[in-house]
Amino acid sequence: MTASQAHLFSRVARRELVSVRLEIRAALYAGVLLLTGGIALFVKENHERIGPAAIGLAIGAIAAGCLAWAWRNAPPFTWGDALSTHAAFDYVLLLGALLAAADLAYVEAQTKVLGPAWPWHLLVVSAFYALLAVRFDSKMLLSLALASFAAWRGLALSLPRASLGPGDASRLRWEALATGALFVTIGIVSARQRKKAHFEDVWVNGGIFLVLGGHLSGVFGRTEAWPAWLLALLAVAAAIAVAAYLWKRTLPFAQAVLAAYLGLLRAVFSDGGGDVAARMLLAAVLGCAALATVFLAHRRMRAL
Amino acid sequence: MKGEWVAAERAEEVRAAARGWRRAGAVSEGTFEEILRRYPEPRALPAPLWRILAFVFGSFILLAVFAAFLVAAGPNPSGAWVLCAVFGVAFIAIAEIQARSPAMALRGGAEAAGFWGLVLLVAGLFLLLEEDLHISEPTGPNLVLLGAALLLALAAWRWGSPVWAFLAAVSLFLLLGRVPGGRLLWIVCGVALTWAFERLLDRPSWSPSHRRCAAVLVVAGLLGVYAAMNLYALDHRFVEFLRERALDLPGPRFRERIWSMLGTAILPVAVIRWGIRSRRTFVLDTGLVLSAVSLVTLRFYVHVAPLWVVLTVSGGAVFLLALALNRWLSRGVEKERDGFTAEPLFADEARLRALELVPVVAAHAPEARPPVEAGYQGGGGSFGGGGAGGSF
Repeated sequence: MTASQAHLFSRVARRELVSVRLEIRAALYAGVLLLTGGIALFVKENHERIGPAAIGLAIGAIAAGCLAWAWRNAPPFTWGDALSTHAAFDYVLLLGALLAAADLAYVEAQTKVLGPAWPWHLLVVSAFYALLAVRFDSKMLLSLALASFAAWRGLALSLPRASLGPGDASRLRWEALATGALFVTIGIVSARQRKKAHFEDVWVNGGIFLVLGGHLSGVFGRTEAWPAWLLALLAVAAAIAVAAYLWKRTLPFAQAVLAAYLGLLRAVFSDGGGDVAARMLLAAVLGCAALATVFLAHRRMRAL
Repeated sequence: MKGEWVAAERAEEVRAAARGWRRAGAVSEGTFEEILRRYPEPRALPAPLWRILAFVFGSFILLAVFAAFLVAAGPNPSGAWVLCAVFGVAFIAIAEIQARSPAMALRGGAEAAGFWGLVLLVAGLFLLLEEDLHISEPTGPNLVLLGAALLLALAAWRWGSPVWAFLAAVSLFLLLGRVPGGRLLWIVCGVALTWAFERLLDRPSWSPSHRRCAAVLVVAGLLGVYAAMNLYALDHRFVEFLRERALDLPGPRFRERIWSMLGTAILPVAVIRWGIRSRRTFVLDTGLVLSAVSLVTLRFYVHVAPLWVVLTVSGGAVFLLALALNRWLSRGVEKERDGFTAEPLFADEARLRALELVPVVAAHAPEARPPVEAGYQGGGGSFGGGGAGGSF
């Protein structure tokens, strides 16, 4: 270790040099949240008084300003990793993208151009986010693109919303499986083709979340076919776990093991009734098996 | 805490720092390997996701076993505390066994066993006092809170967990809030906690995890003082409502409110100033959070403008201030001013960016489209494509 290295490390260790990057990034994100919340409230309270044209133009102008700034400060396009060095870049880009998407939704709501097909604007928003994500190398916008695409298919890709979404559960299940499979496929292909290969985790994890969520919806749904859904869930979870194990992907492995365990709980407690204590012990034994799988997989994945 | 655990923690700190140095390109691969060779991994340390997974499954297992015995034994309410106590002690023993094993200590299972052991012990104490000994308000709950504070403090000391330290402080504040003069006691206790543990933050003889516990207790002390001084909390008698017969209490006096207003305004600024002078980012962060709470409190009492103006202006101001700070620091000599820099130094930026994805999707993901019904003619979308709320 050189003297200059030792000097720098010593200064950091003694708090003679402290980084506030995390605080700056958190403040920028809080600013974006407050701004988008304020603008949404402004539109809600004033859209009749000011008129849709003025509001649409104003939001569009701010969004364009943010995106123009992002364009000017973005590193050159590359299919590889291209993180910007400017601390505010991600957040200006996010603000511009959110406002542009909100403006589109507002204009559509006012003009009703799409009529009964208005949910298609979600697909447009998804494509818009995806384009920006690829151009500016933003996983944040890619995750929003995936969520918007899922919303277009009627799915809620958000844990706080808890379920697949409103509507016919049976249809949503198949939508979830198809959308999830599409995401996983795109993720794998993009990684193989080395076109934004580092986006693979966003595609694959989002897709697996939907695929397993679709199966779990079948297992816990009010349907007689739940044993078939459980078998399918176990098969898919096993396949995902094996693939994740071989390619050393932690999050897909965790999702698969957790989903399989939750599905098996349905079988353990399926017909209700007596002997609850024995069922509880069986659930604990299954938990031990899952935990052993996790420990074993972790050890082997480290060694691979 | 055992001596070998402290030694293991110190080695883990060095290895973690070395990983940061290598990530930032501050040391060569050879230097990095040499550091790892000199400080071999003392305990298996899985990535956070593995630990969370082990914690979740460990919790499932422990709760299922406890529930099975609870259902099988079917104890009456006055005997349930025995079962809670037995399982609480057993879970604590399991946590201790895991903590002693270098292969198991940091896998998440010890945390799960410790957490549920403490929960059951506190629940057992509550059942003993309430159902068996029939010690009711206010003595019973006070003893439960005292027991919880002591148990959690012991657990924090034994296993070096900041979570237990924070929960111990919360239990202590809840207990103090239940005695007459609770608000004043919150201030006294908060100041005492902050003063006492600030002095221990850099004590070399303390293990890294104990110093983290001390940092958490400093924050807990500051939060306790602020909660006692905040005007909104005073007007709504948050502390006094912890006591029995709080509804009979009169409202705050004029002089109390004046002091409270001063505290709400001055304390966050003082904490920020302390954070800057001491260059402790966790103190600075606490001050920033308290400032935000004070501004929300101000907005509650003083309506200077419509909410959308407040949100938009404050959002713009926060954004521009952060940008200005970033620029100011970046233009200093060697990109630093007064010992602060906007550079990431040795932090894992990629991990931070990955962690940002979850709140962004949770806050801004559009709602799923509603199901299409027969004869449906549309009716407009929602202003949610960008994640903003509000519908038309």
